[in-house]
Amino acid sequence: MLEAITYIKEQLAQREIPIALHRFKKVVTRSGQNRYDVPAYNELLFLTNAPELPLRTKIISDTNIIEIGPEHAYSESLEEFSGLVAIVLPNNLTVYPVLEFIQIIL
Amino acid sequence: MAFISYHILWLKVDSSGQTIHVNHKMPAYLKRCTGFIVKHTKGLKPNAYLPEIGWLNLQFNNLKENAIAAVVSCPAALEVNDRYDFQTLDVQLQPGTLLCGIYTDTTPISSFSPYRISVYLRCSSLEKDTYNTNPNANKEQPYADSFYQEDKLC
Amino acid sequence: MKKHKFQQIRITVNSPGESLRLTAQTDKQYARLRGIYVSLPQESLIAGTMLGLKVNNQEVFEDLHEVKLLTSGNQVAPNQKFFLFEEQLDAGGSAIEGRLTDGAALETVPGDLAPEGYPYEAKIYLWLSNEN
Repeated sequence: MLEAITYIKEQLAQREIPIALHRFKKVVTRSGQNRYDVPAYNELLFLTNAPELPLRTKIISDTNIIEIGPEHAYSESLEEFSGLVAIVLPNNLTVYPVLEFIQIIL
Repeated sequence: MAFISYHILWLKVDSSGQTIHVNHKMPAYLKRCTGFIVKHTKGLKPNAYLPEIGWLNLQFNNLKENAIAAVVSCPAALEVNDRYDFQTLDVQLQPGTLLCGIYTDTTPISSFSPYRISVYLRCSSLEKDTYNTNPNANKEQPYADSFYQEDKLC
Repeated sequence: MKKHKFQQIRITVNSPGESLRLTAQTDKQYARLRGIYVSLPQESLIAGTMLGLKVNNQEVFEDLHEVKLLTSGNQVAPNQKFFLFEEQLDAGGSAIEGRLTDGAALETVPGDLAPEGYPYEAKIYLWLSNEN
């Protein structure tokens, strides 16, 4: 089982990136809005609940772009985003997800 | 002996809106990157210049240095006056590290067909300051094999 | 020491004539903001589009500054595409604020073609450097 915080700390030490603060960040989505812009300049956001997100949810950032697919259903890997993070939900959702990130402030 | 080499990444785009994740291991003998250029190679044949067919973001040295963010354009199919000068880059490469990043396609759907782009990295196999460009030096200078503009290695 | 970086700022323009605020921060590992380049996905979108910019609350461009002066066509080499700031502008995590105003008319005049290419994403590239 991946311990997210330990993994992140170890990886950032390997990348020689000092961490000023790490904490949790939630993006709560709701009906009527399918695009959310989350600024993450001089930050890293690690997505921790990819398996719970609707298929075809797209997350676009300066350094990484993913589209949630079947491969994410059982994946423990943490996707990293930085810069302007745009979350685009698919149409016709019945349940609006909450995206959970570990926010690393550099 | 050539001190400058042009390390090339080919990225093939098969579908509109596709995102390619780059995870490329740089050869250990390359010590510095001193320039880059990203260009459409083949596949698209637009009637007019397309200022944007996609954008690229690359991180060097195992995600330590995010040095490249660039938009990729495509000249018109019959255009001959494309410019190939290199854009500024100055990264000390750690041996054999990963070059990671993304390329995402944003070509207008009406102009899309599968295409390929090339990322040219102008690299040097010498550490900085080991190549003497002093024109007054007495010893013979090795010839820097550069097809493009003369590279200043010091 | 890291020498140069090109940082991207993306802004989505949804409809003709739209005026949008942008906010960002420069990468704190680079001390100086050396230049700027604005890229729009179609050449037809450039005419009339304007960009205002402030760095650390200091105005660099007024809101009426034409993007045409901050962009280049295909015939220009990559480094020369950038508008270089003559003064020393501090980066190092500085706050970037701005306003992008799309150049299409809000109402079409009879006989005009309807504007095309919307929504689109404008991209601003900042040339950050640790060199003088």
